[in-house]
Amino acid sequence: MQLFARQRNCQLLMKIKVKEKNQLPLTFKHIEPFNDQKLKKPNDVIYILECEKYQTNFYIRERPIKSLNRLL
Amino acid sequence: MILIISNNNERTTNKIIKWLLQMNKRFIRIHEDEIFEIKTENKKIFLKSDRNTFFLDEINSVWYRRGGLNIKRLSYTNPSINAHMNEVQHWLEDYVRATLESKKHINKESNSDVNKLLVLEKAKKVGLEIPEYFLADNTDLVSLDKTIVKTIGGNPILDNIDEDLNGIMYTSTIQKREKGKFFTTFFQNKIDKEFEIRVFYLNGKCYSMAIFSQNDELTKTDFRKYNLEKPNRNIPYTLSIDIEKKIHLLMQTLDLNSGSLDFIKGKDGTFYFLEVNTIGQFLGVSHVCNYSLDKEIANYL
Repeated sequence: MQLFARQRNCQLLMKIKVKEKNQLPLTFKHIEPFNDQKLKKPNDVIYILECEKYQTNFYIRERPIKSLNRLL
Repeated sequence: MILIISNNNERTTNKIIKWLLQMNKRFIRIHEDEIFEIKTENKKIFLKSDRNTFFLDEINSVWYRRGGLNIKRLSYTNPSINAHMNEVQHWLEDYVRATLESKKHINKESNSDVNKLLVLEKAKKVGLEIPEYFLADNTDLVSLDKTIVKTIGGNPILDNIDEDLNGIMYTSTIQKREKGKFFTTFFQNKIDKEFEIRVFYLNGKCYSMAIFSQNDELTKTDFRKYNLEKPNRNIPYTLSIDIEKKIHLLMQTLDLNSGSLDFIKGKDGTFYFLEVNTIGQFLGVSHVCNYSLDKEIANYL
């Protein structure tokens, strides 16, 4: 779930090959890439704002999610 | 006043703030790159950074989300004075941190990183079932296709591992033996699952969601390999009282009052505990199951 927001770019099947002098855990043989560069496509541009009210420089303008209880 | 320790760019924090604003609760949000100085005025301690100033005693509750409280430490040219002042500053910082953590809180910076290996041992002690696991630097004792590997680190993502490329270490099944040795790795029995369960725990209460990831080859071993074209079915779920009690006991043992726990329901009918994430994402569970966890958190603070 930690990866929820970033997952959209992650369908590549190729493996990353790592070269290191020291040994690495076996998990590195199963490392997969996901390319954040895809976010740069026009359709994926995320608009962020500096926002005093939320005390952040990364406030995202988005349409609110309609909760189920609002639909009932 | 509520103190929120988070990252500047952290969406979940914004969602909780939205509720705090609605509830007319006052808050201060501090960022990961903010550096505070400990100062005093009229016998009272206050913390000051470029962005924020607050008295220690005006904070009623603390939500540790991400990042950390960074406090400036001065250094001195004389080594003896430097060593002494280092200790003086340490105790002053320690007092500030301990005071903040003694207030009403959701999670604490001091124990937000948990050791997966110790958590598994503690989970076993409280009576939760866990898939058999071991550490090894070779695959000699590994049952092929019946064993998974995963990182014992908290973050499976490696940013910029290659040019314009981030890497991610999903839970993976071992299908072939390795010839040589490798760095000590975590192996665990692969459980044939009926479904997965994601539990958000907050102050003794469990909010669970079942994830039907077993029928999709992509999500079978690690549901985070989301199938965006045909997403897994997720539904609200209620764990047995017995398991919820054990979760509560585990969280108390770990001194955590909030966190996300991963379970698998095996085809053998057993509920297997996998791991706990103290600062994981929970809005997905909240939206899908209509738990309003963002509101619950804002309400508690």
